[in-house]
Amino acid sequence: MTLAIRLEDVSFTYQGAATPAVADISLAIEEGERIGIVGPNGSGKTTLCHLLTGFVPHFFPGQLRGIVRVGDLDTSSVGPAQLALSVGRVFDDPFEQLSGVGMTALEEVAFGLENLALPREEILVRSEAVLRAVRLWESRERSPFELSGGQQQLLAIASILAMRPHILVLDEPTSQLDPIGTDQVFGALHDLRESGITIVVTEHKIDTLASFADRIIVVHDGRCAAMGPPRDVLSSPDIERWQIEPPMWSRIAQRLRSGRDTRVCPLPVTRGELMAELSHAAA
Amino acid sequence: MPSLSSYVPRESLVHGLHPVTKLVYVACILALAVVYSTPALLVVLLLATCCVLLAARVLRPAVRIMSRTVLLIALFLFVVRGLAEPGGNVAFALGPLAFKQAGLDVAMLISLRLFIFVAAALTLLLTTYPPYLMAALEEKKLSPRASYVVLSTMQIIPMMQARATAILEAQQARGLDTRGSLLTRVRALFALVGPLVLGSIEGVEARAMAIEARAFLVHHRRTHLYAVATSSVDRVLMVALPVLTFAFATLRFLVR
Ligand SMILES: Nc1ncnc2c1ncn2[C@@H]1O[C@H](COP(=O)(O)OP(=O)(O)O)[C@@H](O)[C@H]1O
Ligand SMILES: [Mg+2]
Repeated sequence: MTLAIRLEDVSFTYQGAATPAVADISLAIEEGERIGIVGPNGSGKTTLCHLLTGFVPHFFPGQLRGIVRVGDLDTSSVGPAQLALSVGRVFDDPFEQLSGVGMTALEEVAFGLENLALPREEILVRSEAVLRAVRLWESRERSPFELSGGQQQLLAIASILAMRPHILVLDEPTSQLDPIGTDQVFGALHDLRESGITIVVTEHKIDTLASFADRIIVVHDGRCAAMGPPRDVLSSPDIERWQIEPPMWSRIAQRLRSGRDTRVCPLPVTRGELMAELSHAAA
Repeated sequence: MPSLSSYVPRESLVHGLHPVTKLVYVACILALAVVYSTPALLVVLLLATCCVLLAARVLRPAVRIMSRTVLLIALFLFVVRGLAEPGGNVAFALGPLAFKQAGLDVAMLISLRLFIFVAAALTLLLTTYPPYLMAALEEKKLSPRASYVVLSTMQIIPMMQARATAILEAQQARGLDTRGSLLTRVRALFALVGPLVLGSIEGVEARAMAIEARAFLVHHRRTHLYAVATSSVDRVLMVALPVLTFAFATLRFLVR
């Protein structure tokens, strides 16, 4: 397996800050892997996303130590725009994702494709496909500024997907979405699996993330507190210390087991895992 | 929030022109406004630009914009220049305030030129769909960076308006009085300035990140969703406008 992303002992301190926002992080992400990043507010999730997309250190000045390699590029020498050819970035505030160039949703999607210097026919085909995928095709003539927060978020994701990056970094992509919109976004991300794209996503909705991610990374005070498959990480007794809400399914299971030792068998963290445990118990 | 443009969609000959033709028009009018130095010629030129606005079916929005901006600047100019002129004939007096003829003459020339330039610029701004302008400029070999600057400049005023509206609504929702006496209005204005300036700076930074994330300027060339057509009318105008401008410029020496 080839590596999509590799971080070696990475620390970053924003200019003027007393303590590093991200400290001593080492990780290797394989191509096609789906990584979920969790952690309380201010723990360094967004900074980690900035590191993977070159905004740190090229946009936000500060002191960077360690090596960040994305694909075969070293982010210390390649800026965000160049990285954007292979790494798509969806910001946490969809309003900030808008280029201001597109007067309509369609033009907003087309902006990135124009920058890739694609032929007009290709721009139209790709724009239509992504707008249909996020159900914004009917709204393609509307101003991006008139869309709801959720629609802006979907438009932001569509605009990046249209550029067909190899790696996708999404920072809280469903913060403004209701459960239906959230399912829609993660459904769209799920469908990307066949294309072999690597996905890194930060998310507070732990249940959604537990069933989506191959691996979960817990960030706490800028450090990597835990890393591994969702069931190993999210059933950990340390979860409260990390200030992470346990998945609904493990809370149900905990009640059912009523105090039996969870270290023997980790708590289920997805609906499927809980169902398996229940049918096992019934047998 | 409204769309970030002052574009007024209408069916008109001017709307259908190539954006660069309209830019040539603005440059020609600007040149004539600088060359002409008598009020009579400038008034004729202003009437001509208004006729173009009328033909473009955007005279009414243009007058609305000018009455809020240029008209205020012009009034200010008349007062300041009229009073500040050290000596000479007094045109009229308001109590102790003596307005001097020489100062008023200067204010008149500057104001007329300002009106003419803004009327010409509005012809371009109100009748051109901004993405067409960007596509047209890059088609004429302007760098994407420069065309982006042009586009952003066009958006400054609508962007500020949108921001100001949003801030005012938020402040009113929190109970800040923005109506009523002059004093409360002035106070409300001060409460607006801070967030407006800070918000604009943050906005610029966010947009810089947004366009980087979309690989802006990575390639030297961009393609465009829209193809902007150059009609035969455009071809004629691009030659005729500068020639006519040159011809009309000579009027300067005939009309005194
Ligand atoms: N531009 C910045 N300048 C200085 N400090 C920052 C900046 N952005 C974030 N920080 C600080 O870095 C830490 C991590 O923030 P962030 O990465 O945004 O966390 P999260 O996304 O998990 O909420 C916080 O302490 C925050 O205050
Ligand atoms: Mg964040």
